[in-house]
Amino acid sequence: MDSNKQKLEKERVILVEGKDAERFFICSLNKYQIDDVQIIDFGGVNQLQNAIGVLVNDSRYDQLKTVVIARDAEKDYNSAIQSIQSSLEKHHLPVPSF
Amino acid sequence: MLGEIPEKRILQLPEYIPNYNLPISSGFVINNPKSDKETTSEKLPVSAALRMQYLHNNTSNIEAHITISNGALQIISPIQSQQMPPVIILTLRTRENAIDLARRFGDIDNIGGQERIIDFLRILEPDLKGLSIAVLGNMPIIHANVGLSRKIPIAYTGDGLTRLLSMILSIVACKDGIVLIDEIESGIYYSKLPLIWKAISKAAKEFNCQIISTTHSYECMQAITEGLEDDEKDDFLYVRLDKKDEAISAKNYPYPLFESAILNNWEIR
Repeated sequence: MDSNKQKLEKERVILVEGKDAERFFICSLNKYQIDDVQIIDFGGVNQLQNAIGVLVNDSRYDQLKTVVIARDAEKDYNSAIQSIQSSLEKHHLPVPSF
Repeated sequence: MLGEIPEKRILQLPEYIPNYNLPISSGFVINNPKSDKETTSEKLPVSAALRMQYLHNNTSNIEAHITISNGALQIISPIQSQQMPPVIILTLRTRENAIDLARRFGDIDNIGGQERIIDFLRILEPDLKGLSIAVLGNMPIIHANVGLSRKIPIAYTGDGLTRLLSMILSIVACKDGIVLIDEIESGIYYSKLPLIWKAISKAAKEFNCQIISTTHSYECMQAITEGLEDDEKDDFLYVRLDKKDEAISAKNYPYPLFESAILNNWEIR
């Protein structure tokens, strides 16, 4: 079994934008001794929709309980929120309202 | 999976039927070196079959039976064989049958198709100048001109070119049809896989042939992202079979999803 491939391993996931955010969240979880959350880098904002699709298709998706999405609001907070909502809708996931 | 999906929708998962006799009088045989297509007219005793139900052109509910008999895959359907697309299956056992390869190449060469075949093969072997058939020990063998002082049996050029030739000949022979390739990467050096995908996707597009292939190789899947041209990506679909308990479900990855998974090193086998 190839162990260096990325896969769903925990019931709680934080999808983050980029390597810096990934390292920040991993260090934060270590600091607070939280070990039941998986950090996944989805790349850039344009890749979020596909990253969610890959997650939904994962063989362990039905064990997933919570997903948090952390991305940069950039210049327009509302546009960022709409982009996340649209990505979730695309894969028939519940869409939180703000 | 490359190419347009035929207008058939499977209504239920295939059902295994042991101790089965074929009840329908028309059908055709594929993957048989002697006869790619033939009609049966009487009940044939076979040991087992898969029964499938599907919608044909969204109008009629068709029941087909699939069996393996004498090494050939047989599809028995009430639809006249002329209406069904040509299909070739390339398994590990059949795809390097030298006689079959020579026969298929000869058929295409006879109608002036050699240059087109060589164009596809040059994607992998730029030095290839021509192919011809010569008899070695009573066996017709395809020989390749790769710029040496004499032509050599194509197998001497390496597994990759022989396998690509087998795939290309099948695609050309299956214009407007389907070619199924089992473990497409088997025996091909990993660095050549993008070129293999490039060649077969170009051939599939030109001959309007749907390619359905299987693989367990992540390298082969990575090669797809390097081998497909932009205008071929919409025709691609990766399907992963997910087994939970006894149930099997299909997870679909259109190209953007597939590429995202591969670029992020996700396990999607």
